[in-house]
Amino acid sequence: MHILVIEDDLDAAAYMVKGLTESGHNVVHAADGKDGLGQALTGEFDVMVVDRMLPERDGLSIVAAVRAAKISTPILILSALGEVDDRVEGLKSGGDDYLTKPYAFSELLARIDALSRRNNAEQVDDKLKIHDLVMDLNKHKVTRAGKTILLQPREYRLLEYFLRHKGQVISRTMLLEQVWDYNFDPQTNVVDVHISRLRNKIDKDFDKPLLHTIRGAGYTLRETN
Amino acid sequence: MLVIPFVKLINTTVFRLSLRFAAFFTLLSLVTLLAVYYRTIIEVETQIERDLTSELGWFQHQLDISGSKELIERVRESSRYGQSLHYYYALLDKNHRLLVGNNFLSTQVKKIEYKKSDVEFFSSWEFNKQEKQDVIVKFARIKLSNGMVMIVGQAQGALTELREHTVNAMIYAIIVTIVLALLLGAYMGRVVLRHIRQIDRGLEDAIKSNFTKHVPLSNRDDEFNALTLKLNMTLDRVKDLLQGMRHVTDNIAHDMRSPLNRMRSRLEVTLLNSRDESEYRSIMEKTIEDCDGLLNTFNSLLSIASAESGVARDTLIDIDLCQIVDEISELYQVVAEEKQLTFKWHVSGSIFVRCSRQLLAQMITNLVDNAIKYTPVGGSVTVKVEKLADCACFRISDTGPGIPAADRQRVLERFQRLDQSRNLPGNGLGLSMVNAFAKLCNAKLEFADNNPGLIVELKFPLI
Repeated sequence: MHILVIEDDLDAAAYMVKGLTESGHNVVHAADGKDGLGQALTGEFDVMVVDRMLPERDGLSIVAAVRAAKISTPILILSALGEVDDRVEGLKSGGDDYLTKPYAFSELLARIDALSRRNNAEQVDDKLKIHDLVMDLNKHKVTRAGKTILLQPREYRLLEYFLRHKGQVISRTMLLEQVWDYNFDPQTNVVDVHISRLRNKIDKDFDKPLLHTIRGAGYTLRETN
Repeated sequence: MLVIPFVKLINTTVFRLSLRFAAFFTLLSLVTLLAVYYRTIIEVETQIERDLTSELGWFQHQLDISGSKELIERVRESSRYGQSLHYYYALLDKNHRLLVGNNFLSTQVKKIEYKKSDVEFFSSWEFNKQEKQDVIVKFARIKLSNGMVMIVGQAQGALTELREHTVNAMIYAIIVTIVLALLLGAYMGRVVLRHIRQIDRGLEDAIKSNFTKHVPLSNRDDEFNALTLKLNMTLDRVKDLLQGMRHVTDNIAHDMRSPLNRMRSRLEVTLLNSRDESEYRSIMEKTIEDCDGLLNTFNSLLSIASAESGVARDTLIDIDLCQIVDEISELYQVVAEEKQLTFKWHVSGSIFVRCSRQLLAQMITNLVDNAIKYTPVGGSVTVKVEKLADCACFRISDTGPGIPAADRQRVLERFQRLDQSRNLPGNGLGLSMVNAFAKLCNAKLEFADNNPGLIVELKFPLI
């Protein structure tokens, strides 16, 4: 993926660029708002990561300018401000996701991944599938290898989110945000408990596990280990 | 320390106000005196006119009963007497020639044409021989029944005096008003200044003593005392905040240093020898976990600090407490089940409170999380939301160890953990956060005994 990183903290940027490059992405770094906006307006990136506080020009105004130029590249805003209304403000200016510093790199990677897929048209098919697991969106029914699996409403939504982002690493905070609509970190690993419940239902009695734990990062739904 | 010099009397609000009052009252007395003056002049003039008219009537009467000759005699007599008393008389014949009178009517008077037969008034300057000066004289004239014209006049010395008196009175009034206002202003300014200076000194002492002292109260139950009480409350709050900050700094230093130290030692020891890759990997993963823990603690501290600053108060909205509690209960039900706890929640309908989705969810999460964490296997946790007479109440009761009444205030402080819970995961910030968020939303956090166990209540004001 072609990623633009606009970040004035050179050390942080260097790590980010290194990490993203090693994860197989093609990264361009801009160190200030002016340069960043110039790069962004070329419109040749798949995802942009924009720091909120930048010299020359602040991050939100870059996002607004990019959107004004009718460039719909997904944008992840990075910020040291983590309050709920800062977040809302960030998303309102045209950002697609908001990540508060300090963040885990795996979190950043997972979110960039999710954003790039979001840009692709979402599946409009009324069935979501992975291997022999099928979710029928119309009938609200899940089967694996032909056997019906009974899910609680929240488990259903959880599985649906995984199916819509199959192969991607999804962090716990992303799940809380997307499935429960909370953007804080509960002290207990409550998400893990829900995942293990879901796993019991969809993986336990079948030979090939689909829902995998990625240590230090989160979970992923995929066929291969 | 910078000492701000105190205000001068002349700069006090009270003094300035009294100057303004002085100006106002001066104006007021001027207007009043002028009104009285004009009213009096009208009265006096009316009185003079009435006198003149009645005198003319008397002369007509003399003419009627005694005839023209007698009238001329009467006028002559009157002229003689009146001269010294500033009364003027003149009797003119049909052709307006002067027959008799005190002979100093101005030519102007003689020229006047007499058309009407009833009384007419006019004023004119006349030279008074005795006083050797011009005086203003009010005249009245009438055409008598035999065609003669009778004129009587009266010098208006009284009016001139009145005018002089009035002007003098005005000047005195202004002087007295201004002097009194200045004195009163200075007096009031001094009194107020004394009170304020007292408070000012007390405040200075309090600041110098690092907020341990209070501003002394006076024994009067006045507005200054009320202000001082509020001031002392502010000082208390400042002291609390300062202490809180010191406490937090100490605790952060302590609670952050230990894990940082642990991480550092682990990494350092790892570097002492070369190890195989999987060992490096596992140590790095552990270090990342520790980092996450630290970040979590930091984020919690920031959330608490931000809630305590109260900035977010403007962004609060009306939100359904029942819905959030229902969602969080559902989220945590599985956790309780894993721990073999009986977890029940009684929530129905909707009760709106002023808060925000994230704050409310975080508070409920922390309380539910705590209850599940501290309740031993086999125990039970019950959640209830109900609308009471004066509040919306969220209540969670557990069968855990509870919190001794003596410790209930302490557990709200940052990083405070009871000895019995030190071996359980947690950073000692959960209840501090609930407390800070509750304050932000004007909610009350209360503890009670569940015998055994703990009851925690969050009481939101009704909207």
